[in-house]
Amino acid sequence: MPDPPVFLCDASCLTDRMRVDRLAEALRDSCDLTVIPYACGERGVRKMREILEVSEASHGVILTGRCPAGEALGEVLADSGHAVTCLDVSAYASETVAAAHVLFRLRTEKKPAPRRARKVYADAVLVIGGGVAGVQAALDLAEAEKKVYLVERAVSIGGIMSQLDKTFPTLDCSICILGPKLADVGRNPNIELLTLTEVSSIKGEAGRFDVTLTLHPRYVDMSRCTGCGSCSEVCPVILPNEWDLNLKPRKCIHILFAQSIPLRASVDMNHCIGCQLCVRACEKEAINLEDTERKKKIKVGAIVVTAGLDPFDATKRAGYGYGRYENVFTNIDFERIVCASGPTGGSLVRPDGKPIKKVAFIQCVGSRDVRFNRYCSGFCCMASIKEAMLIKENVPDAEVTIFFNDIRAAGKGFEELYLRVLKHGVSFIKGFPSWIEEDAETRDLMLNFEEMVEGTHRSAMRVDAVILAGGVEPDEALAGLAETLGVERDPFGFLEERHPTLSAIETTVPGIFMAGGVQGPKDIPESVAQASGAAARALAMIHRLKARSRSQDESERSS
Amino acid sequence: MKDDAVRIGVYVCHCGKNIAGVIRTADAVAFAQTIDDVVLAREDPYLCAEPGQKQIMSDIQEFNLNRVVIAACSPKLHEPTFRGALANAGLNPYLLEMANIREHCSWVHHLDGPAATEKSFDLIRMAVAKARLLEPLENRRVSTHKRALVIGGGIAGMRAALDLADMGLPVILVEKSPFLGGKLKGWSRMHPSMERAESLILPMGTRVLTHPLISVFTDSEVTEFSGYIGNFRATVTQSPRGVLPSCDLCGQCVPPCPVTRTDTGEKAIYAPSKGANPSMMAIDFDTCTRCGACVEACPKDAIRLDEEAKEQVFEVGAVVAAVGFDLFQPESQPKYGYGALPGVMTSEEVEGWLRTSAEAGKLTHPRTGKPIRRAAFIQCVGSRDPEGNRYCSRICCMVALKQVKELLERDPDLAVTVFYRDIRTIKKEDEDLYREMRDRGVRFVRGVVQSVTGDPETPTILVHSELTDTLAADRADLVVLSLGSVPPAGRDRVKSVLKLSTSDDGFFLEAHPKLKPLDTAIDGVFLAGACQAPKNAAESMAQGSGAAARVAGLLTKDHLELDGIVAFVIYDQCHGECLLCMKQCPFSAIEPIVMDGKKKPRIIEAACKGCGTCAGACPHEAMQLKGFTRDQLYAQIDAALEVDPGHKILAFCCNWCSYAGADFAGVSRLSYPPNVRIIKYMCSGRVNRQLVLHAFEKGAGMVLISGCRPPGDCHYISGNIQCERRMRAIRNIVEKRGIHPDRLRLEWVSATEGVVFQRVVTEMNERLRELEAENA
Ligand SMILES: Cc1cc2nc3c(=O)[nH]c(=O)nc-3n(C[C@H](O)[C@H](O)[C@H](O)COP(=O)(O)OP(=O)(O)OC[C@H]3O[C@@H](n4cnc5c(N)ncnc54)[C@H](O)[C@@H]3O)c2cc1C
Ligand SMILES: Cc1cc2nc3c(=O)[nH]c(=O)nc-3n(C[C@H](O)[C@H](O)[C@H](O)COP(=O)(O)OP(=O)(O)OC[C@H]3O[C@@H](n4cnc5c(N)ncnc54)[C@H](O)[C@@H]3O)c2cc1C
Ligand code: SF4
Ligand code: SF4
Ligand code: SF4
Ligand code: SF4
Repeated sequence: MPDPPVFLCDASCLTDRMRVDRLAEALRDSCDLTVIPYACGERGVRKMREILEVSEASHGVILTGRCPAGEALGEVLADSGHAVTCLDVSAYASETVAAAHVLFRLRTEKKPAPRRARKVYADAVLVIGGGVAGVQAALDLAEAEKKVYLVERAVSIGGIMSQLDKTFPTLDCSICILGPKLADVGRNPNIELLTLTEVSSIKGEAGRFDVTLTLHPRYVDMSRCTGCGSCSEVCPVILPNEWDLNLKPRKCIHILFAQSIPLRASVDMNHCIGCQLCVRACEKEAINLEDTERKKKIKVGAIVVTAGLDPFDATKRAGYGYGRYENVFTNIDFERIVCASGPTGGSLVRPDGKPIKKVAFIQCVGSRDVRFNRYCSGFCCMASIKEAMLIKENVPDAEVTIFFNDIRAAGKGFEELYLRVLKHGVSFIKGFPSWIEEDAETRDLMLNFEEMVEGTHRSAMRVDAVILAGGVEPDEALAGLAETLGVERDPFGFLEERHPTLSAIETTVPGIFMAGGVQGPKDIPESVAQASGAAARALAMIHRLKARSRSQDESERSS
Repeated sequence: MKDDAVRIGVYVCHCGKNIAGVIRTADAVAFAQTIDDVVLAREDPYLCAEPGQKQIMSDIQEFNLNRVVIAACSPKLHEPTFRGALANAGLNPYLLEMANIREHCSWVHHLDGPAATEKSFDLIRMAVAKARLLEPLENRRVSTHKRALVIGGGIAGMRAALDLADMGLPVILVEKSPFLGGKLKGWSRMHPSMERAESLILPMGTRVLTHPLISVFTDSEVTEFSGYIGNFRATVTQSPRGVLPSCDLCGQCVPPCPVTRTDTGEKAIYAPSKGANPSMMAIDFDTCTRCGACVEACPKDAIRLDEEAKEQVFEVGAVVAAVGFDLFQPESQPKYGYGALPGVMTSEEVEGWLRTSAEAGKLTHPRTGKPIRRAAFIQCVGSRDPEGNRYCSRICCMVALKQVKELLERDPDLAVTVFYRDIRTIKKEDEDLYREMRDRGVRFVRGVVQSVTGDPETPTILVHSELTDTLAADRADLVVLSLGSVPPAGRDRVKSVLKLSTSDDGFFLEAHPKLKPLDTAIDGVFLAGACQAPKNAAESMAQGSGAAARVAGLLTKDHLELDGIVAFVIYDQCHGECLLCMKQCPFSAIEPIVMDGKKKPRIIEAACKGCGTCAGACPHEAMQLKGFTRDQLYAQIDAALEVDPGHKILAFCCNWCSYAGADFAGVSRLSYPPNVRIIKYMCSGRVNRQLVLHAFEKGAGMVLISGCRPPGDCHYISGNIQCERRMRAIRNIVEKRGIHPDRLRLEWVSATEGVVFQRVVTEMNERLRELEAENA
């Protein structure tokens, strides 16, 4: 077999580390070497194509520095029917050592066997997680005429956004803007929505994944249930409603929230006493308490992971008393409290009925803290600012204080909202309270902190309620999902990007894309943009693989 | 609908407490039941949710409703949702009318529940009056050009182009500068991978240039643009580059060139590196003296100093605008000493310096030539400024930390101080960078820099700490200004050519800040990257891909559906020959035909955008717009003025700007007087004498005509200009009729100017009070 042409890239990525002339000198006699100024540039590629065109060998080798060009170069040359491998030679101690390694690789390494393009499952895509990111990805894919399987673990799609009251920076009502999107998903003929479902195994590669799904029982036949709610009326088991953060009751058979999609009842089997009252109450005969788990196998060309993130468990910050003190809340609890559809009907009152007039927010709970999560959660400054604004709108004379380290209002319209709450008299104190005490009688809270005005002073503040800006962290189950999919996670536990800049919405496995909170904390607009982005990457990949497999079929037929 | 009696169903939404917390919805329902032709009225906690939708659908069938009025939020949000419900129930979706009792009522009158409730009656009465006259309309089906136009060849635009082309859609990529890559061409290393910026953009640019489905036009801009979703025509004007593709970038032309540019230090004939994309030199004709030295030096005969601009027209189905950003110019704020003190550099200059010099060990200041022992970074230059750009530029904290890291890698002994207000490292990798720099001994000083003065080579920085209210001073051999981002230099041109809007911060405005971050108000035109707001590279790329998906959603289908709102001619009323409608149509959607020996207009429906400018132009009211006919508008006016007309302010608002501006006043909870009644037309180009006079004849106290800000904001190119022109004549007539001129007002309100709307109607109300007092 003829020797492959070797291209030595003469560009900054390599010249930062090594002298290209010396390396060329060391290699020139032992292989078919060409020095290419900027192999990754248009001219470099033209030159390499010319050489590959006349070469007897069917592939080439490009020696580069530490740079991410390999993948794109592979694709560019594949477009003209050439195969190349890229070798990063910049890490060796000297030019001669590098040359020795290169020659060794050239001698021992077999030419990569041309990959047989296999048949592509080009018509379907799997989206895992039905938060705002998954919803957007599913809608975009469906709009481009793909069949979409939208798999959601919970009984309804919607994710965190469905629990929010208003959204920063424009303070529009969260469910009012999300609800219609959820309804679009429910209506779209190209989307098969699978709630109470998880991915149990996957086989295959980009372009053809065989996926097995586990469908957990709902105990209600979705095709019959109309969402009328008669079952919940008669159900005798009353439980705290976790969707309203246990601040409001629900029944054992229940519909999660008014805008749920699908708007169908489901039974919480852990608490069902089997009384059958609902079965009898349901005119549609939709309830089957014997329902069982099922498996479903699907074939998809690409996967988009949008499994979201989880609010930080604030009980871990024991000193702030979350979970022990009745009037210490988190941001997400507070979203439910101010929401008109929430437990207090939108009135700012504590569980004991006392109006909330004096409030303190504590930022960075669980974030920017090496004991918990060392990253910044990105949106919680804005979440608190938004909630402070909502308090001021509800109770103009409320006293609101925000304890912070840095105020991170870095997004379109964010600084403007920050300035607005400042104008409304919200106070900001730099530094965090060290601990919180509860007045056993009044249940008011005492914050102890250091104030830096003309030196440092110990200070205390008494408030009706404390709101902890708990950040977000990877979902508990994400590790398991990542393992099932074979994708890597980053040091923080989120999914790792293929390249942090160039392919931030691709996982480490080709053909598996991602968007939203799984990739790291972010706000809604960024989640939505990424979701559309992941949809595009999936569409483009499927199209490319399909075209390649078609052209291979054709060339096989003609030969 | 001739024989069928009109049967209207009215639905009042609570929107949780958003509406029901202010308006007594039960009273609104009771009121609706008293209106003629209303056969049913109901309230519902959330009409947009599935139960609400189902209720409407089953009522349509059960009660044989043939018109539906929804009193709820702005039609900008849910009109499609409710139209869908009508269609699902077998009713023509255009038989819907919405009364905006949230943005235009409960949210702006939240302090006065009874007044809001009373106003909601009027809004419902007006909607019912219009609903009575609604006709079923049919959507138009249009074919699409299966080709996309991407404007801007930075990372966002290149990513969009590649994804579209990989999906099999041909792409025209238009880049203003001679080379692809955008801002990254000038950067050194990229956080977080710390790889060379050019190693990120060159492979991408090469794929773009060699992709069989992408045609790249460098040195080019889109200079004309027309058409509608799926069917745009774009004129691409390519200015001369002076160099032919046979150039192989040997560089022999550079040394003979006598011109050195002051801005970049490059010659007039230049390329960013041997890896330039496309691989050919370019000539900067602003500085080139046409001496011909390069022509002689070129061994390939590739230089043409007399090259001329070329123009080409393309038909495309959709557009992605990815025109990027620029940096704040620190010269405008002398307190930073930029220009005066050579020790002061900008973050952009630091990138360029680090990119081109491999210097390590003790660093030398590229401008003063002095060794750098101490470096200082000043954050938020041109951002978060009460007197200037109020917004935060989002990336400059990360950029400064990255530059500090690169400096410390070259000289670990360098002493660095960062003067900051808040460190905003919000991305998951960024906080680590911040911590690493703190651990490496970088000093972070919180405060607002007052001035940079003193020794030109080792300036003194004076900083005020808000926390302790103290002043401190520090000196450094290198002072770096972390410049904020500003909208791209050519923004106004792009804005007016594409008819896009911008937000208060000057960046391009997306269709919805949360759920449609990539769409614009113009269907078929999308945004990507830093032109929408400052972003890092990964975010810009994600948006590039995202915009590609939005385009794919439009162009993978064979046909698109367009709404049924188009103009039509009542030929009996048309006198013919004048063709004023045709002359004023901004979209050439009217052609002349001969009828009874006279030239009369005919509407080209696929080209009609439904502005109604023609309807405003016709002196005989022979031209009408479906969905906004004369009779429908008059019915709304009459209903609004049924009770206490003299006390009312009628506000005519266009669909895109002023109606949205009034919505924005609602979203921002800006209170204004409750006697305002808003009537929507598509464009202020619909305004004519008859409309205004009709309002006054019915006794209106005040009339406000409003629309998008001239000249550029009009979504129909020139409707607002026609309106402005006609208003002069209308004012004369109004005065002649003895109506006080102050009773008629013309004001432009953009979609984000809720405050302007509030101010204007509040002033009008005060004036109305005065006039009432004078007359009493
Ligand atoms: C208190 C708070 C306030 C906020 N306020 C705002 C705001 O005002 N404005 C703003 O822009 N952003 C705000 N955010 C951020 C916003 O909530 C997130 O950006 C957004 O929810 C991310 O969407 P997502 O789809 O990625 O994830 P999620 O909303 O977390 O959705 C993920 C979905 O995936 C499902 N899922 C998870 N794992 C699996 C699995 N293994 N299999 C199947 N399904 C799975 C989950 O059940 C869920 O439905 C706020 C966040 C919080 C916590
Ligand atoms: C000093 C500095 C350092 C940075 N470092 C990093 C970093 O380390 N990591 C990181 O992730 N991000 C970094 N960034 C951010 C990064 O530069 C941007 O995210 C990125 O450039 C945005 O890409 P874009 O394609 O949207 O815009 P741009 O890069 O601005 O590209 C826009 C393109 O459109 C063209 N164009 C403009 N107007 C027109 C027109 N009318 N017609 C046709 N074409 C037009 C321009 O010529 C340009 O080629 C840095 C930014 C700065 C200021
Ligand atoms: S299960 Fe039956 S009773 Fe319960 S909501 Fe569904 S249809 Fe109604
Ligand atoms: S966004 Fe604000 S509150 Fe949240 S972790 Fe970052 S700095 Fe702390
Ligand atoms: S990112 Fe940092 S430096 Fe830039 S404007 Fe915001 S706070 Fe200032
Ligand atoms: S003026 Fe407007 S409504 Fe009339 S034909 Fe032209 S585009 Fe259509």
